[in-house]
Amino acid sequence: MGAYFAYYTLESNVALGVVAAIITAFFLGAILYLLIKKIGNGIFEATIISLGFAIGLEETLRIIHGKGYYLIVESTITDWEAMQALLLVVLLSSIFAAYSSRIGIRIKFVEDDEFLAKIYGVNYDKYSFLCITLTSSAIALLGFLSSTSQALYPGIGWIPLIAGIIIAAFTALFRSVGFMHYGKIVLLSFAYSSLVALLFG
Amino acid sequence: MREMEEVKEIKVVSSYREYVKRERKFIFIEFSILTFLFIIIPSISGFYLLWLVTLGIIYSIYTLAWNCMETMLGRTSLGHAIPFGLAGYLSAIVFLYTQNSIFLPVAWIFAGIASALLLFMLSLSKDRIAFVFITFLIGAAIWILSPLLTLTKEGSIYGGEEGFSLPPVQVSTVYGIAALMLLASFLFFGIFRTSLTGLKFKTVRDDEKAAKIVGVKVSRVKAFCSLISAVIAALAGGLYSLHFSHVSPEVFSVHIALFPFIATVFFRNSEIGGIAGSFILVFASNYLNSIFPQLYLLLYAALLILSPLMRRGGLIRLLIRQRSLKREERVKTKEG
Repeated sequence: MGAYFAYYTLESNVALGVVAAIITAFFLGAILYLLIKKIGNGIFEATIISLGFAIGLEETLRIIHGKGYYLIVESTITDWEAMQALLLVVLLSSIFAAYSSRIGIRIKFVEDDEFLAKIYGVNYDKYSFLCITLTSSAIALLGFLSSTSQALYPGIGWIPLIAGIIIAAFTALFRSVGFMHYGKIVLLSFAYSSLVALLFG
Repeated sequence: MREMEEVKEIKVVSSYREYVKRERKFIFIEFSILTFLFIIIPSISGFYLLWLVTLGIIYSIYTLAWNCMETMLGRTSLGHAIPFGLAGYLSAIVFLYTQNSIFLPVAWIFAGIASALLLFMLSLSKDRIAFVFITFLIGAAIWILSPLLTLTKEGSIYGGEEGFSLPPVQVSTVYGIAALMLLASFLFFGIFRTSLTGLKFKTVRDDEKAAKIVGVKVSRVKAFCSLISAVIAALAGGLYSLHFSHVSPEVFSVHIALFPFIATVFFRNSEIGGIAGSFILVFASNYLNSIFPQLYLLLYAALLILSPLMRRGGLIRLLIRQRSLKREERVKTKEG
């Protein structure tokens, strides 16, 4: 979705496009959160609802744009890779700040056990809502920034999704927690990208 | 929920034997109705309707095969597109090199056995959520990578995004084979579910540890279910590719992988429910496609989002519950 925002706004108003992508993704994340809260129960049902929501969005894009592929060949912004690196630094700094503060332990509770988190007075709903909406916004921004490096089509999100699950699954093998866990995710992401480039590049 | 319903049902009848007798009576009635329908359909329907019914039958076989993993092992597979698609791909490749249709069923069974091995290995892990994720992941990875598969024969390149061709077969032939296969699968799963062996298998679904303690060989049960489920799904996939005389990467798509999951949200707990759900989806998709290409995927998305609600009670029960809630509200407002 972020990449499609780039398609429409890159030539006219980049800043507006970025802001619109972030806000729209935030609201879509909020809808997803509400659906999971009202309908879902547990990880499996939350995954199925998210999958349905993703397919719904993909098909909406397909209905609007057709099956075609779009390529953004010219853009008014340079140093896209530097901006993506900057986004990574900002994300890591935010995670580091969160885990260094009292919020970190609350997030860990929410991640591990909903019941226990509620017993210890953690506002489970607030943290779940923030996690889904803020990560949706971050991913939309990443989609916007990486839109010039690949062809745009409605199923553009599948490859990053699968890569994300593979990397998360391998990182889970280390059984690390907190900021260290995210550090390992970054390292494994680089390793994964290098391997993919080596195999299919 | 499902276990409670079964226990309730058992309590109504005086013994388990009576319960089995009653269940089997229903299965044979349903089987007779299906047989009657499959006999008369070719004579009353035109070419397109027969083509569509054949597609519905193929998807029904696929759904029944998938359902075996869930009802017997308690494993929700989102990777059954692997045996389904692999059978199509393998048979098309075999046909490309041999130009002989006789090897197609061999390729389907080989694809089924290979996929069964994969499903069995994945089912050895006790983590059922991980099974859902990993089957989905492997299926989706094959879907993304399958366009990269190209083969060269006599200077021509085959495969890629376009896929492979298969020999053209008359719709009535595919219909006949598919209908026979569906009837056989229906009877097999129906009798198996209500047999003593089926009951033993269900203990693995309910609690693997407890099943082991009472002497059930859990790994053997898993191997058997994986084999039956994957081979039948592969046969359905082979028929699917033969029905279209073509196979492309779409046969591994997430939509194919999710089809049986969505088809079973309408009516739970029975083989006939899976068949009815598959036909509803095939006909609804066909209608929606006539309005706008691929509009049916929005229906899939909506059903997936609502699936947790529907799977807890089935669509009919959900509607009845909603109606009774509304009635209660009306009574309350009148009393108020």
